[in-house]
Amino acid sequence: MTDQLPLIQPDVLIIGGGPAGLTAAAELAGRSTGHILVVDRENAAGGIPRHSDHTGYGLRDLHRVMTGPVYARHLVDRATRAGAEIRTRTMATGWADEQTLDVTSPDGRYRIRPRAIVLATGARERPRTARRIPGDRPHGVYTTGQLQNLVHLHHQPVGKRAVVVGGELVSWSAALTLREAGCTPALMVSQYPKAESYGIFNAAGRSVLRVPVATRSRVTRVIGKGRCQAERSNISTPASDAPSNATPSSSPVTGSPTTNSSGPPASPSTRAPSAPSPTPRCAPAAPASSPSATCCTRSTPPTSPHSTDSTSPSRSSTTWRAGRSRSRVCGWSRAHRSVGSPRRSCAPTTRHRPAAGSCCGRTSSSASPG
Amino acid sequence: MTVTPHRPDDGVYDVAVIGGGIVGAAIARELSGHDVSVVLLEARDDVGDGTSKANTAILHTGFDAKPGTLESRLVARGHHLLSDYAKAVGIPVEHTGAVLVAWNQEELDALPGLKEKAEANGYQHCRIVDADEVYRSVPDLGAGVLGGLAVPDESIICTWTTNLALATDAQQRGTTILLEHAVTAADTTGDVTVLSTEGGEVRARWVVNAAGLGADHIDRLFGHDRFTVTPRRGELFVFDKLTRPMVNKIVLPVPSSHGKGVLISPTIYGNVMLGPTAEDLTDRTDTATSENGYDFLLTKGERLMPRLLAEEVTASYAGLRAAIDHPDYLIETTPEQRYLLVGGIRSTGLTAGIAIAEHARALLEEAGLTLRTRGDLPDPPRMPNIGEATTRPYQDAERITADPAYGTVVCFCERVTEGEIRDACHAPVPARSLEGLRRRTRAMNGRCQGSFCGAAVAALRTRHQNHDGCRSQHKDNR
Repeated sequence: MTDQLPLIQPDVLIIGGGPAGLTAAAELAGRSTGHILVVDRENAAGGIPRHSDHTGYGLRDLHRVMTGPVYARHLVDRATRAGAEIRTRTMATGWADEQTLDVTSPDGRYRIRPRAIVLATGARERPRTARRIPGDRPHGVYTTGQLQNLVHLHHQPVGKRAVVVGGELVSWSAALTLREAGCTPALMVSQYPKAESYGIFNAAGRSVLRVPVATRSRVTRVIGKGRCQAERSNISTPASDAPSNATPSSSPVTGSPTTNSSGPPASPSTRAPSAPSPTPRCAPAAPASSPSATCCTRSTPPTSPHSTDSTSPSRSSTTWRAGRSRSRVCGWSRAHRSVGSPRRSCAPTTRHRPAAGSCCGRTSSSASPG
Repeated sequence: MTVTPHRPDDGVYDVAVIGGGIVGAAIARELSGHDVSVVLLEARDDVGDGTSKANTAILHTGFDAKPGTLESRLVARGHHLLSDYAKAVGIPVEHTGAVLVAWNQEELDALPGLKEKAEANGYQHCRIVDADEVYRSVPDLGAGVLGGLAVPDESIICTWTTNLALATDAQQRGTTILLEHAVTAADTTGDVTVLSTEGGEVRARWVVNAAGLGADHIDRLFGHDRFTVTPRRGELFVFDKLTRPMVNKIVLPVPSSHGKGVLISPTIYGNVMLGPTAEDLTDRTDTATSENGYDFLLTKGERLMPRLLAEEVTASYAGLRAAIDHPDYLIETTPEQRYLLVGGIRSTGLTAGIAIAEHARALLEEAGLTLRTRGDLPDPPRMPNIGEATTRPYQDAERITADPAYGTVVCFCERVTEGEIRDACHAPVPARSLEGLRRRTRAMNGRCQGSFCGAAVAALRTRHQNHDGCRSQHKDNR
């Protein structure tokens, strides 16, 4: 049966219609008369900038700044004008042979055998589980992409207070999105002595977004049935002898995070409930003024800002929000970058096989672009 | 709603089965194959949402049960019954086989005894193999394997689909399923037992207690004090799909003086699972994972298969086993109360479920329940395939042509389509929550754990809950 699938044979197949794939498509289509086909599994091409409704895109490649969605539309238009074909809601699901891909779309199941393939599948977010953060599994623990997807594309509420885990550029982007959604980023946490983002962003973030930053902190447990209530944190500041592993009986840090880089108080005066309530509603874990959550995690090394293939590990962080009625955690890992010229990996063969997973690739660096 | 051929007489059911896990659903299905009205009472908002959902999902041969026990007999019979049932209704099964691996002399010395035990359990195909053969079947095992015992008929199965199939089958045979009906009291003074539940009173002539973790509580409501359930937490890691080629067999530990140990198993969804831990708790709701559990699993995994740990963890979860202070299944009737206890069913209950149901039916008949076989049984349901080994909707060209919703992939990591999510929302035992949707479709169970598709899946669910029967395309499913 599958041998009779329809087959199309473009000159170049670009998998992924984000900034990298679209830029590659525009350049290739502009230089040749061949059939340049971009496939993207989402409803619209444009990639992650579509979800990221704030400015800062386009600086490096277009030399002007614009919001993510505008940038995405610009790239789509440019690729289309140059003559590339873009098929959305079209997902490459595996290899039929060395040069042929299986594809699923609402228009049917078919195959594509191009002369060359560009993998522009982007990075992916590593959720909480991949970073091995134990505890309950309540709703409200988000990656930044999910947060922005919820807020910008689905216009869903995300609660009232959040803790952002990680102090990178994208963490500030998450904080921006939270503010926009009417959610207070109550604390940003970093396991490093300083937030990892550029100094100027940290300073701007702290003063403009008024997000306190706790450093040398990491999340050791998430608490909450139904919704996130609190996380246990493990703070090791030079000034204190806080244990390096929080024990189940240790208190979550609940102090009012009024400070910045010195971290939250190591000995909290208020306790969040030590056992999660079975009710889906969040018990008021702490006085309304003090968030009952903390901490951070961050694990993967920073990705090269120029790598656009699927092999780059993405940084990620998790945002946490633990409020009184709804609490959420957001995280983020997709490196939001205003990437200009993508590094193309025109690989006629398949050195980097997506294997059984997805064409999204993996986060190790074992595969190299062709 | 499904037509109920066997309506309760004056609001009184013939049998109330407490617990919508594998065992309760199997018993309800078995009984409603007869001329009685059956109600299945589930405390949560979905069937199979307790211990059953976090099963290690192995279709056991029963080779390692204690010979002569009820468990041994029912697991052996259940293996055949469930294998046949899985084929009939489309429960995903992969016949991977298993190998018990001996890592030290004590374990190596235990292998002949285990083989004899398997034979005493009626399972004749175990074979002692040397270290070379173990490495040939699972090349990525860590250094230090001394030998092993091959168990060729151990298989992996989808525990979620099993539970849903049994519940759906029961419902189609006429069982009334009442969700969010946690039983809080039982009055056995009259001819009819009155069960107080969080969803109101339920009256039944006979009561079957298959409440799993809560079975001892229910038993006490009936005035007994036979056993105590100790929730034993088992934490598990599910590794990325890239690890699946490393593990083509279930790698079992040799039960030794150090306890049962940790297994590595392929999952029916194309991942690899490492676990479980075993930790006795007091809180029957504590399914949180813990730092200690993680450390334990990582240490174990490092020894068992170092390459595995180099890959990403897709999910981690904890299940609570209903461990009891009794070495066997505890299945007993109290005829004067018209009451049957089905307690102490550990993880083997997945395999044994249908056999337990047969056994329960026989005991009930013995105790005085009249059961006449029906001649008008509906066909068993055909369950959607969520297993990785056979064709899934996104791969099915004909199906996509007939209905483009099966070509619209919503959950990219697990390749779950809009059509499947729609179907799960309108199934006979429908998904009522995102968690329910996960177990019916795999949506949000992949690498991104829903961070990419979660909002879209939630939107689809809301839409299909609000508009029954809609078949049109969703405009914005991202």
